[in-house]
Amino acid sequence: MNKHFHFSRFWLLLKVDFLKGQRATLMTVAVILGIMTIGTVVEPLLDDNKIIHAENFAYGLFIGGFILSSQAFSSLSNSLKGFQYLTLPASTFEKLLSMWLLTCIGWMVVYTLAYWVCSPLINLTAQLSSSSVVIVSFNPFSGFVILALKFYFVLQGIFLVGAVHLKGYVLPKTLFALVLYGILGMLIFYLFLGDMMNSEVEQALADINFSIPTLDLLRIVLEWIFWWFFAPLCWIITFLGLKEKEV
Amino acid sequence: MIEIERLSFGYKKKPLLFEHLDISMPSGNIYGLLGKNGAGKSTLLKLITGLLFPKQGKLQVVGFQPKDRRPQFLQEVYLATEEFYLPPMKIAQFVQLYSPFYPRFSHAAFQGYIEEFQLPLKQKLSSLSYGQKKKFLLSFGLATDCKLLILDEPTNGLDIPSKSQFRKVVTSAIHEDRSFIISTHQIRDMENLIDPIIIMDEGKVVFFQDYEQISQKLTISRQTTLPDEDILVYAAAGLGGYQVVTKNIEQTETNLSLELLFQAVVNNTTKINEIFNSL
Repeated sequence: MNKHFHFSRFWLLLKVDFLKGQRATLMTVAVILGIMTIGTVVEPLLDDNKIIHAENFAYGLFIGGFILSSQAFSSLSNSLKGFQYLTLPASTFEKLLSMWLLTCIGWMVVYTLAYWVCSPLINLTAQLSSSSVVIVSFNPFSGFVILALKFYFVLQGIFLVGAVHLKGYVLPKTLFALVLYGILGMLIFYLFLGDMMNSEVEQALADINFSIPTLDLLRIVLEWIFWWFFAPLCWIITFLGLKEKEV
Repeated sequence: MIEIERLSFGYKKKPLLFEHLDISMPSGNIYGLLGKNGAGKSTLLKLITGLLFPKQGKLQVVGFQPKDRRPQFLQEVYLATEEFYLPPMKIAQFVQLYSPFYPRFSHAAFQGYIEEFQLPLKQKLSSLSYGQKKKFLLSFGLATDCKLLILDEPTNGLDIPSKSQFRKVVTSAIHEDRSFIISTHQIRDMENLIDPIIIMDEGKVVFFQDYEQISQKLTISRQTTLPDEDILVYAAAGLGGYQVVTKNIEQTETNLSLELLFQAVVNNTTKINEIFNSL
């Protein structure tokens, strides 16, 4: 039997994690779609008498998904639940994979399906509340929806990191850490690279043709890092945190 | 079964609790782990189950390093703690979900324990009483047939008939490839059940002997006057005399009182060591 992954053992773990998390997932879906259905009564008044499903879908996807991901390893915040979770005979890799499948792929599939099923109801509510409302219907395969799903796929990893490394109030703490790191990053950028953008250096850079192709290249590299490296990096940090967890 | 060599461990920002700890525990025994509060019993159990990691030294349990928490290791070690969480599901559902993680789980044995403890299969675990939950955890742990079953204060919260049932099921479930470690303060519940006896004090194993050795070396008796100091290990004043632990110089058989033995070890460790280290 493989020490890191064995399918039948993983399947058992997935069943356990699914049963433990199904109520929270269903409640999250219900609350988000409920808010959206009720929200359609007021939304046309606020937004040019228009309902753009893809945008609403994206809000719900991120908010619900990040809440669920922050709860992924909630057992670890409680020492009684924590020792049971850590001594359950499954590998750290299987435990991570199971949670990732449920909170990332699982959430994307369940939420997209639920939204697709509920969108006619949302449309009906909107039409009943305002006959002149314009509805941009929901297409799960539209470019915007696919892009939102791709962003969720990448960014969700941050909340898995928070779920393993932080104890209690994971979502606010993760968001706070993100803001803090964001400010820190900007500060470092300003302190070290800000000077480079000053007149003399700027002039020098202009002279050596630090121009649009160079900036484009930088953007492409950063985008490539974001799409291909960011999520795996988060998964590795989550894995290491889970492996080194003590109760 | 368990090999601990020169193990050191301490909690963050605190002095080391264990320093160069050495213990060897072969299989086939019901070990009794005794000690005062803060002696390090629970920490040792957590180290053995891989919930805490040693700072230094070697720790091997059923052929694995607990720190790695490999599934094959976790299948062989079951920890039933004093305080625990059980999910809000029925016993049958819990067993259906969790038993497949343990390859040698015996449903027949589990059924037997459940009947012995008269636990309601169809009731939700969360609605059971503390004692019933404890009996359920014990039944599940025993039925896993894991090589090492660790029970932390197993008789706390059990009524008098349940304590007898506990002794009965534990005795019936032990075999030569299996070991139990019972950590407890309820030492009267453990008499004639645990053997060998391990006593910890301030992060050290101050006593590790089996019944045979203890009865060869010590005598526990009731006396009206205190015996000679050179053979006296510990005395507790009682009604009309003393309960004394003395060196067994006449090789007489004795009825072991764990409570007195524990007091003797903790209060006169030096003399106990002298007696047990002498040929």
